[in-house]
Amino acid sequence: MNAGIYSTGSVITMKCGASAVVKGKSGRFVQANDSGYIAQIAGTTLDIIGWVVGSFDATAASTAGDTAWAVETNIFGKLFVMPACHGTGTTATEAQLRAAIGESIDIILESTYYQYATTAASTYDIIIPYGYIYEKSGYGHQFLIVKPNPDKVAYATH
Amino acid sequence: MIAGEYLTGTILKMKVSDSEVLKAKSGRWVGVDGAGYLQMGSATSVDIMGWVTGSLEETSSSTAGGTSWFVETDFLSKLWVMPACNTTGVGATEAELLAAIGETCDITMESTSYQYCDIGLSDVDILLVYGYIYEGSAYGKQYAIVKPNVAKLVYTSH
Repeated sequence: MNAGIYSTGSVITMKCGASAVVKGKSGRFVQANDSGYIAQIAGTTLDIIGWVVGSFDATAASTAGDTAWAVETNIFGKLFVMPACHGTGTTATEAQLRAAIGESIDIILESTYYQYATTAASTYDIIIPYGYIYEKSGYGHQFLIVKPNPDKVAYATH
Repeated sequence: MIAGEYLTGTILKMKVSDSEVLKAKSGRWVGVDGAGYLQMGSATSVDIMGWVTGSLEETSSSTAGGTSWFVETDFLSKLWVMPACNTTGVGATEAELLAAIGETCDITMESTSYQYCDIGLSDVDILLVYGYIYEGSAYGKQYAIVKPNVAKLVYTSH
């Protein structure tokens, strides 16, 4: 192969860690574990490398590497929609969503697997809201339009 | 001309410093020298400005500015393929390449003019690995799919 010829674009198929989970109504940010397999991020994760493409619900095979998902790696050049809350299990008001725009906030995991942007926490500041979707009051009906915060991402050295 | 009047897109024709060597089977990361001319990235480069497009092999004119290359400046939104090694002159195994995904490593210069992604070096950490192509165990038969590590890019103040 003649490396240097091309860019591969921004979406790449990546192998999943054992039993990795992605949910449809959730943020879909992922990291890579020490073995090079992707896994869903937690609220404390700073090494975000991409966003799983699509809206499917899935659990990866119990053997690492046996499942692969397409990952959008252009995480700073695009906007991503994810559910929003104001702390675990707490509905975010429209005013709270609006006030978060342009500021950095945290991600939390709801019900173990669902990535939510929380307007109530600013410890890790890993995402920046650019806008919101407020469908109605009631938990699970608010969304933030976000990007990862380039000032906060950090990756392990090899 | 009124600066700021128009958008040029993402590929820019840039004048090259004197006697810069561009190889096809190489990474094609470039920065600029103190005079504003392109120069090939090196093992210590942290001021990456772009990636030279195409598969051209060329040594630039011995007069700075006598040669121009087309540079893709939208380098953070895309993935790039470059040769990989595990320390100078040593091929990387497939397991080593896999384990490097999601982690950062260095550029190393092989045979003076060839930019390799060196997964055995982690001093500058300017590259973030997303994937690999493994064509065989021999040196020169492995490739890394990378982006610059946004957390490490630094530009000189003017």
